[in-house]
Order: sequence, then structure tokens, then C-alpha cells
Amino acid sequence: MISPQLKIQIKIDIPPNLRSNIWSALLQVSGDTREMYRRINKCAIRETDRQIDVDIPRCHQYLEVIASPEGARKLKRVIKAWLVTNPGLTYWQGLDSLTVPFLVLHYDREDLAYASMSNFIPKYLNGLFQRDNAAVIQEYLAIFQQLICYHEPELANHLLDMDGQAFVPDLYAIPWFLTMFSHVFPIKKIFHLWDKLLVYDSSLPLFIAVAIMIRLKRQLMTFSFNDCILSFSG
Amino acid sequence: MPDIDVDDIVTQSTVLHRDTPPSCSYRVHQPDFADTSLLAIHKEDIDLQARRMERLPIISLSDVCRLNRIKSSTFIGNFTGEEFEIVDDIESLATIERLLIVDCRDEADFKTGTLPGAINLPSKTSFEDPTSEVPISTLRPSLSSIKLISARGSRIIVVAGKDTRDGQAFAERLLSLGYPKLTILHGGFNLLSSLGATLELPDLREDS
Repeated sequence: MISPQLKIQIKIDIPPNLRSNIWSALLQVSGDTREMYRRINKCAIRETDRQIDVDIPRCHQYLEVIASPEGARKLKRVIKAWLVTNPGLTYWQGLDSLTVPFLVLHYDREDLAYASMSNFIPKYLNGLFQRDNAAVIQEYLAIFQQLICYHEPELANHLLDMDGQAFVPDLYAIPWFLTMFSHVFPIKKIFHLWDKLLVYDSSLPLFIAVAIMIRLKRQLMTFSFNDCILSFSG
Repeated sequence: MPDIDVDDIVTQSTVLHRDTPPSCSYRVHQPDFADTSLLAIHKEDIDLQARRMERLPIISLSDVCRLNRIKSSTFIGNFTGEEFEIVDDIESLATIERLLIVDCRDEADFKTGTLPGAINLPSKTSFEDPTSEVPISTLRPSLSSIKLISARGSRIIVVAGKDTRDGQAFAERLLSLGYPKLTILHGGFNLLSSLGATLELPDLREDS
């Protein structure tokens, strides 16, 4: 348990050398995670293995530990362990990016990486890894669009009518939410962002996304629809 | 995107989080939504299909009460006889901003009773139709529209009557005029009447 006083400190900043312990505490990782992880059959062949094998060599490869053969094996094991223990959920591209911060943080303790993501996903990505996640994503994107309208009507009006075309969140924001921005930013920035995320409720990602749009507003206001597509696909 | 200063994003997102009424970011699939009071938004009241088409966020009655410093019991009188919990969050009261409630029903409905402090801008008659010179519909001059114009930048809560889509359509017109912080009261007067709300007779002296 984290005391209210400590939580205030954590809200200000998390020292990097304490991050692994603090994240585990914030995510309420508990019990004999080593034994729990050891018992999971991570070797069974599953239909999603091929997709995972395609995705891992393209995921956070600027990180030596992840680009190494050992790192790739660990990443695959943690993802597979999560899939085995969440039979109702499935692998969507992005789960690999989402796993990396936990693996980097607990590189020598795969069990903690697994336990952390197991507690992180139900809180911040509830329903997004269902086989049919369309309703969850559509609601997420709709609320995001509404919050842009609420805070930045000028930008919203511009994006929603670009010579008859609408630059809607469906065109750019799905990977933001499906990976909690881990597909968007390099690892140091993800750590910093998630330090904050973990002390807030699950609505914070929507405001992170709005903050990104506000940060890009000056550019976006001069962009055409095609400029927007190009700029967000890069 | 990777070049973005993440410090800025972190700071800004927490400010936005603080300044947005919690119900505006409510999602049916959100596992940890804190407000479970009777006047909050509840899962079963949300039509996900319709929601995708709505441009502006809805706000719960409990957030409106809190932001407007109205005790919910003052106008949800004796409903079921229970005491309503009054959500007076000290942190949000400290950062309270101005708030304007816009009743967008017809004048006749407005006169039968409305929310405390609300102004009346009927959705059917408050806008000039677009012309070749002005391609978007603008507000017709009236005392209420002046109040609305001078409240630009404050939180504006649109409250609709029987057809709650009226509220979205009305607010979308204001959105096209660049108004920020627009929300629509979840359930509108329908919900208020089902809760047995005691409405206030508007003060019409200024309009006469």
C-alpha cells in the first residue's frame, strides 16, 4: 500500500532507481509472482505466434536490450504468458509495444513485467484487447473528439471540415490509446508519461491525447487534410 | 511526434484533467469512474451508437450541482425522501469558474420552470440562417444572446427538453461559432422531471 503522503511525492516525480518498485506498488503487484509466472505454459504454440514474430523485430529496436535475441525471446514469453492467462482476450498489434516498458523496467524479472502488465491493462485498456473491440475503441475516440471540441473549438472546427473531409481520431489516434502512447514515444518519454498515468484514473490518456493536439495546434491549423495524414503517419 | 516535449504534455494533461468536469470524459468502458451517485451518468443510460455522432460532451447533474454550488437537494426536493449527498469537493471549489446554463426549449416551456440562473435561448429561433455573406448561422440579437456572448470562455451547459438531440444540435451551432467549454446536460429536462425536480420560475423582468 502507498500512503497518501508518498502518493503526493510520487505525483511530483518518481526517481528512476525507484521506478520499478513504485510502479509495482501503484499497480498493486503482489503475491508470489515468480511461482505464478513459472507455472504458466509459455511454450504452447498459438495462432497469434506468427503475428507476434512479425511484430517483435519492429518494436522499440533502438533499445539494445529489446533488439537482442534474448530480449526478443523474453518479450515473446511475457506476451504469451499474458495471452495464456487471459483466454477471453487476444493479441492486437500494439500489445508488443505496450509490454516493452514493463520488460525494460524488470528485465531480469519477467514475472514482474508480466504481473505489472496484467494489472495495467484492465485499468487503462479495459476492453481494448477483446476480439471485438470496435465498440470500446469507437467510444474512446468519440470522447476524445468531444474533448477536443470542449477545449479547442477552433482546432476541432478546422479538423472536422478540411475542404469537405474530416480528420477524425479514427485516422490517427487508435495506436495512441491501444498502446497507451508506447508506440508513439521512445522509452524515456514513455516512462515519464506513465509515471503520471499511474497516479491518475483511467481518463488521463484522453487528456494526454488532447494535450498532444494542443501542442501541435499551430502546425495543424495550417495543414490540409493530406498534410495531417502524412504528418501523423510518419 | 517523438520530438514533442513530453514534460509539456504531462503538465498540460493534468491541468486539462483538473479543469474538465469528470462526467465529460465518462466512458461506459471506464472501469474506475468514481461518481456513482444517483445524479451521475450511469452505463445503462448511454446509447453508444448515438454517442459516436455527438460532437460535444455530456455533463452529469451531479457535476452541474457541484460546479454551480447548488445543493442537489435544493431542486431535487423530496425525491424518494432520501437525503442527497452533496458533493462539495474543496479542490474543485477553489478552482471554480463561471458557469452559464442555457435552456434551449421554447419560451413557453422555459416560463413553466427552469434551472436556477438559466437563460433561455430557444433552439428553433435563436439563430439567423446562414446567408451568402455569413455562411454559418449566427445568434439573433436578444438579451439572452448578449449574456451568452459575454459568457464566452465560461462553462456553458445546454439543457434540452423532450428531444435531447436538440441540445446537441444547438451546442454544435455554438461550437461552429468557436465557443469553448460547451456541454450538454445528460438527460436534459426529461431526466429532471423523472427525478421530480423542483424547477424555478425564471426571472423575466429583464426581458420585458
